[in-house]
Amino acid sequence: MIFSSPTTHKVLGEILQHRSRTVLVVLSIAVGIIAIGAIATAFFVLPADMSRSYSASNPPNVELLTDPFDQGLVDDIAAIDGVAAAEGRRWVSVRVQLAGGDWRPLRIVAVRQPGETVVNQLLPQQGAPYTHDNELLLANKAAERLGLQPGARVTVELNDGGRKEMTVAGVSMDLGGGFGAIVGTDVAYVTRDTLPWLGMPADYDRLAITVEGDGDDAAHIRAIADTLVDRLERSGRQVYARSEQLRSQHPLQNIISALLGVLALLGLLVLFLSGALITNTLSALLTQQLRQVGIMKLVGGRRLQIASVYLWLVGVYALVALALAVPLGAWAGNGITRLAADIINFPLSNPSPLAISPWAALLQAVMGIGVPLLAAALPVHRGTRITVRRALASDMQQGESRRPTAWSRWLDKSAWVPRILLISLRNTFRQKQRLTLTLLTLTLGGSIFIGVLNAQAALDDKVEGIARYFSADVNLDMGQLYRISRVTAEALQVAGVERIEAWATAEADVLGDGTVSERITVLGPPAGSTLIEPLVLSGRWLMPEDDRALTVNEAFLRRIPDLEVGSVLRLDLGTSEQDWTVVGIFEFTGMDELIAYANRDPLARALNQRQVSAVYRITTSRHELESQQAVAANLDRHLKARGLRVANAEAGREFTESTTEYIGILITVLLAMAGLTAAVGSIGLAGTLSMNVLERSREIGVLRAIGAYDRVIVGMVLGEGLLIGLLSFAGSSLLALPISFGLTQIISRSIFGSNATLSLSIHSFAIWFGLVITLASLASLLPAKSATRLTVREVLAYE
Amino acid sequence: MSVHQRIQSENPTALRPASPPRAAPLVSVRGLTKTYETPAGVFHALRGVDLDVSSGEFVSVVGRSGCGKSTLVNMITGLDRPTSGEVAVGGVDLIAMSESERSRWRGSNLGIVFQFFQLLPMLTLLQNVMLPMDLANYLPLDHRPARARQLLDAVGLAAVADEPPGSVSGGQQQCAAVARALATDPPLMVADEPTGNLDSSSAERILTLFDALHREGKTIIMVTHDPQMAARASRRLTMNDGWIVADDLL
Repeated sequence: MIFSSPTTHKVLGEILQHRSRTVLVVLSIAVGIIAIGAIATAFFVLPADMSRSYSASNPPNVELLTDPFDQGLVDDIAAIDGVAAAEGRRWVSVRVQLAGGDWRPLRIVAVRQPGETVVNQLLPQQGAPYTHDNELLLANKAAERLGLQPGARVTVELNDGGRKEMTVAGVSMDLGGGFGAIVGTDVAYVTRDTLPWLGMPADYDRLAITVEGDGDDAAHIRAIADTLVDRLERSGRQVYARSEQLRSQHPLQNIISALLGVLALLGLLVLFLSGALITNTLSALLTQQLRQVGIMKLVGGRRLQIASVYLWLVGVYALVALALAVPLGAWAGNGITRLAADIINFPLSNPSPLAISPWAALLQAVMGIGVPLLAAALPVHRGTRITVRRALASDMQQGESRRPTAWSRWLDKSAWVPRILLISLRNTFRQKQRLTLTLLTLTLGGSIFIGVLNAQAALDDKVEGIARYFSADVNLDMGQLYRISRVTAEALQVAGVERIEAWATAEADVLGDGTVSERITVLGPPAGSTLIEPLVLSGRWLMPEDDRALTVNEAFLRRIPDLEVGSVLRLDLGTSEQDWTVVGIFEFTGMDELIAYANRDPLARALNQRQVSAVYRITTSRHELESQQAVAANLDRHLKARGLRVANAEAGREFTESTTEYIGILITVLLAMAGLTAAVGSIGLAGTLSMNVLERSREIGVLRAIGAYDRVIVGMVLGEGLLIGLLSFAGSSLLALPISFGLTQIISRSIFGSNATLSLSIHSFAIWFGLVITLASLASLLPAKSATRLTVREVLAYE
Repeated sequence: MSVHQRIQSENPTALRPASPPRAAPLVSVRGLTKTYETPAGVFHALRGVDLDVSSGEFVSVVGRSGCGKSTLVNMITGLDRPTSGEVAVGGVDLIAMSESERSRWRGSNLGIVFQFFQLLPMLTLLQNVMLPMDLANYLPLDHRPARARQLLDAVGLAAVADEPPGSVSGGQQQCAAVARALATDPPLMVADEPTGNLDSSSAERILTLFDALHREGKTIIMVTHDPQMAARASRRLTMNDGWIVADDLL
């Protein structure tokens, strides 16, 4: 019965007989719901899977670098109250030869048995989960980058230059890599008993511990860590490095949360824009249907009955759109999730590209039905309010009177303005609500696009700003203080090393009124060091003759009242209390930490470290990341072979390159969302122009009748599209300012913990200008073609 | 055999023009047919029409609703294509041209006046009259306003030239439409029921304009269902059921 009712026929007729409009409305709804589905899928799946897999790997709560120890100490540590599990490790830097003959650095981590690690468990991927002695178990990212499979034989070069052939036994996923796993050193695991074969002592120097009780209680973890440090120091060992982390919080959780937060905002925005599109389209639909509404009222239809017909129509559109959007949203969301899982390196609970998250689907269903009905409410309310008399009156616009404005009077007087251009200009502004909604969607899309690119520029600037203070090719941190002459002599023997600087470093307390007011880090490069390119805000940088002079970063101005150039700070350096004079204030890219620079000699003197240092900065002959990494690995091997303890030898560009690459990935995801917003805008524009053509078919027929050939008609429609595009560009450029600022700060805070300086890149605006012109032209094509295909006889309705 | 075919067979000259043209005709139609496929079956709007219209003639086309008069005029103006036959205006074969080419041709060679005026509401009367000049690139840009004002003045609309169509009466709008039809000084003007939407005094005003244009030598073809309007022309074509059944000099 329902299928034969006039209402059903009306609804089906509207859908089937006006296919291009149906496609437009369905697309308008679907695009917003796809965005919601994609982001919701990522939202519900990504943090949960990341946290679950990270916790499941039993990541260490505490990691300590100390003097060599054996399994006996590990067992003793494991028996301490509060310690759930303990494992010993040793890192060995080697080089591995690739198929093409190139050498790449490789960090070998020795544990008792890689397949049986309790702390930071490895997830077998390929080949054997266990290794025998003298075999390698590669981390999956290392296997990808080195192009190695289980069974491969590789040549490994040791610290002393000797070489060994090793077999790759298997590949496992290392879930606890953190930021370093994204772009960083390649890692492989061996048994502890392999160490002597590699020319290393068969003991550990790193301890990895999990705590009992709440592994997410930072205070509890710190307390256990303090106990362990105390225990090690009482055993005559020194602790050279210490780190603490929560069990279920992946090291990159904050960044992912920030990204998902931004994506959620953008998704809601796309949904809102999609709703605006639907309102636009349905307003035009109801306008075209006024005569039918009048006829329905004429034969007894009540307003609610008529409104329900159109709401049913919208409901059917919504269902069709939902059928498209749920699988597409799942596919896109799973794509985002898989991309993130691949970059961060963790397994998904359901890696299928079409896996549908029930919560995401539910959200899509609610939004997919609710938003279109809400968007339709106003047009349906307005359209069904019309009286029978008005609805059945001629729909010719001949009676339309135009209220002249100053702008239109100026246009009327300007004989040089071609009438076709006048028609385009006036038609563009004729339907103000439709124009406003169309402009809104395009403008928002453009402003987000520009904002994302500006955010990338700002963040790249911030990274470069940080790098200005760390422009050494290799950062060498020794495990203890060594005579500078010895380290320098040894390091200069390593190929690629050109210069080496010994720095002094100290953590100092700033004293005020006898109490500690702030804790600061003081870095002491040699006088005249070229490894720093400071941005001095006031005062000056250090001069070689400066004694007890400091330059401080801008965070000092926020944290120490009344500080200015010339101020004297009383510092407790641990060895003594001294007055130091602030000679300059420099910009350190908005970091909140208090960092000061002093000349090395006076600082080393104060620390009683005149001839010794643990911190070295090295300049190499080549400055690309791979060259730096190779020299760093060679330095590490060489120094260790000479009996020197190396805590860390790291390529200088590793920080900037990995951070820049990570920012690039974030920006790509955000640009995809911006692109989606722009797509909504383009659909909106195409729809607007199509509706304009449809509503003006009689006018186009008249133009055809009096001499307008194809090129004129196309030019008119194209002119309208480009005008709207240009107007939206102006709006986007303005709106991009606050959006650029907001996005920059959100991302900068999530990565760096501090704000970044707004950067307005002319390229961002230029790229969007080109895109919006292209989109506007493309959006105009189909309506323009439709306009030329209108036959004059039909549109003027002869006979 | 139909009525029309019998008339033709009994009096082969009955449907020929009353006075044969001396010069080449401005409008020449041969064997024109137009059929429409409708859900109710095939409809023959024109059934093989032959017609010549000479330069300077004022021709009215009369007949009941559905007789084919507007269809015939659509063929002559190029607004529609025949199912078969030939149409030439000013020696130009309209059938051979594309839709776009026919639009361009109309701009320079034809002025059309519609029943419902068909002025563009977003332009003033002056701009409406200038529009065909823009489309046909007729006269230098700065000469067009003056010509448009001149035409509007000739039809009595100088005072309202800068008003939009919605601000003037139906009669004034139709006068403006006549001015627009004359914008590029085309040799032929075609009017389809030009007074069908006007009161009697406005209708008289329009016909007076047509009389004046005819006296100036314009060729006019006017479709009307009103015999009194048709009598104002110099030649009357009567159509019925897709045929020209009478061709009378007045």
